[in-house]
Amino acid sequence: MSSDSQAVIEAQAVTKVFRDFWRRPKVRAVDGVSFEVRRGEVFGLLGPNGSGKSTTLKMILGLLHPTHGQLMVLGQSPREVQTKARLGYLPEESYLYPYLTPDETLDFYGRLFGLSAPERKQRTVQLLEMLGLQHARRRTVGEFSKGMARRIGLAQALINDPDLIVLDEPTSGLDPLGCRQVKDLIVALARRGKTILVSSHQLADVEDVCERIAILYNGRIQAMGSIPSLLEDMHQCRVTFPDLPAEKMQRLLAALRGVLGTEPGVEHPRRDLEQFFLDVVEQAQRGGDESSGAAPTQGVADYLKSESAK
Amino acid sequence: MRSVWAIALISLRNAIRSRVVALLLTILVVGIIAIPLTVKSDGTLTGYVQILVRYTLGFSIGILMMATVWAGCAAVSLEIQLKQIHLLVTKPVSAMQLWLGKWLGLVILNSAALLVCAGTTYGLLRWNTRAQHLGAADQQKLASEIMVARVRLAPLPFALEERVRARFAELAAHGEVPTNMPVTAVLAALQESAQMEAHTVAPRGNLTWRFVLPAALTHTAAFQLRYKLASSFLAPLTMQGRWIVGREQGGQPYESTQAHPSNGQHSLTIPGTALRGTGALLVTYSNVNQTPVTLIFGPEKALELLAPVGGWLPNFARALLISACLLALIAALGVTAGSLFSMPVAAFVVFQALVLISTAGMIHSLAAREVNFTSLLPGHLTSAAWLDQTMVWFYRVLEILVMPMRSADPMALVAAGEWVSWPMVAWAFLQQIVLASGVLLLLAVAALRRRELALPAD
Repeated sequence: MSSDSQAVIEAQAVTKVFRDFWRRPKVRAVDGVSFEVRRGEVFGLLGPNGSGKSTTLKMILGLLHPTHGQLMVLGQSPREVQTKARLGYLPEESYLYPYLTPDETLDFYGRLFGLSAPERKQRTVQLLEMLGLQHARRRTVGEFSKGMARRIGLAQALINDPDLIVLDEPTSGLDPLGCRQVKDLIVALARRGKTILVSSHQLADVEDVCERIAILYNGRIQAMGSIPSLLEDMHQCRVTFPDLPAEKMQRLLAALRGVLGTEPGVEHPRRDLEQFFLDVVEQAQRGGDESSGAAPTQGVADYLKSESAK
Repeated sequence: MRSVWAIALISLRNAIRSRVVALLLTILVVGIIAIPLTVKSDGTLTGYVQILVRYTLGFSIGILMMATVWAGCAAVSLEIQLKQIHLLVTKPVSAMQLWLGKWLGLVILNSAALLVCAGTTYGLLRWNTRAQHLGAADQQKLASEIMVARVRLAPLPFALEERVRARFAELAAHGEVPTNMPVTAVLAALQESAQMEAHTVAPRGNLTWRFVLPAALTHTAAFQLRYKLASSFLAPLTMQGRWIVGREQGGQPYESTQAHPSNGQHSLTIPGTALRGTGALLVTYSNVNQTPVTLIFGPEKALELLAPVGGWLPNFARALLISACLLALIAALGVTAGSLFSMPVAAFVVFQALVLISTAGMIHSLAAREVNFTSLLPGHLTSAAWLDQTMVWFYRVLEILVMPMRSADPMALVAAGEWVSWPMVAWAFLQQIVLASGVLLLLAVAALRRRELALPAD
């Protein structure tokens, strides 16, 4: 274990080499990667296709074995069965059984965690409410849209109230409303002490939820740190104030010109498109329009609200 | 255990919802109904029961085996291919629980399908052999020879060692032991000759066999004596012979003088009262024919007793249990192959294994060195005895590997009205489920623990 006992994931010089049929090295997908994810943190793994982030995630989940280096998850090898009891995983694609209903799917995964029947039933109801899928609980997952299947995928990742949640492209296939809900959920879960590892191409989403990120390229970490430390431009300042009449604005700009010696930039702040979209949908919902897809969500499931004690 | 059941039940639910089960059951039931209509029997009741129970039900079990191979191989390999296994193995499920869950799901499915097949077969059998449909003689035959469970008993072998040794000593004393033959071959030839002599009944002579009877045998029902003989006359004759059947101590022996052809296989029905008393059952044949003719019994299966020890339905149920054990072993083979290889490779491996198993009899002969391998080679290699030895060992190992599958066809026994005992069921369970499936489980667990389930090639 690390000197920092709060480390939930600890990777030291982890390398993964894929070999061909004759055991000859073919691709070095991950090359000497070292990082750690601390308890209660939302950590983002970023990188272009083929950068090694999926391979890293799969090693953390025990689906692949590191060729070199050491990898500890929750203080144990990721291949230990006990480690998996405290883990939740949402894969990039929803690899669910298409002939099962959401109820049956969640009941099945709940059984694998040894949950009692009443507990499974209670958590299933709460998760489906939280993800807005109560109305679709009798339909088979195979009939679901990609976004609805992603929600079921997310629900199964949370059925055991995990300490560590690994989310591979959590907003992939979701509409902006679903994206917002998932991001809010991630933030809410982190606030309650859950550790979350997110891998995503959606840079804006990562920026919204992650405290720290690592950017991978060609199997190596190219940049790592907190979002502010990586993104803040310390050579420029932005001052925000209410819109002024033209004459007052001219005076202010003249004064700034005098101090700076250059022309200051002036622009009206813009709302981001995501927020604008959410406002429009919210207004439509208030107007009573019904949807056959995922319904509005109900916050966080009750059983996930308790602070993680482990 | 909860995880094992969860995986088993989810596999079942998937199979049912994907309509695979409905399709399979339809094929099986249609096959059971259609095959007896299309296959011509010999017109006898025995022939009809053979076609229905042995061949039709056997064919359905064969289809079930093929379906089991496919489903077993797919159980793990398709989950790996479709990546559904990523969600399964990131839960607290061990490799053993995963294997057991998949296997148990198949065992439950097979058992249900087997029950449907057995129920259809039994219903058809009862319907087509209902009292209104048969004559009195057929009804009697059905009750006493077909719809029964009879034990097949062989007599104790004659003690011939002393005779063989004495004959060998006599030959040696006269310097007549062939020098160009190994001693073992000479002894084997003498043994064969002694066997023939021991099974020969000279004119006015008699021959007695001893049978040790199992405790389950009752003396209320009649039993059958089957015998096979040949005469010293090439032309067929009608012989007169007297049979005396009774216990060593006490009881009332049964006596009957029979006229029977001098060649071929015959049977004699003996009342159950002949079994009263204690000790071994003695069966004596006296050659009382007017014309002096020498008779030779067997010696292979010269004589056997078929005695009723139970009802047909429990016998059928025990045969089904043995078939279920075999299906469970094939499921284990499939799930293990699917844990090691991709779907097409796994299916190919299992089908090859089944082909190998179907040649188990030939493997047994080869392992017993009944074939001289070097004799098949060009002349300059015929002295390569080491090759013979190597091949014999190879086939011995192969024989051990296929041994668990080499059991008598239980449906053939049931169709012939022969007893399928509980020890046979227990042996099938021990050999095919505990031992063979256990070894396959360990192999699969070792492979799954080492195997990376998210390789790009998967």
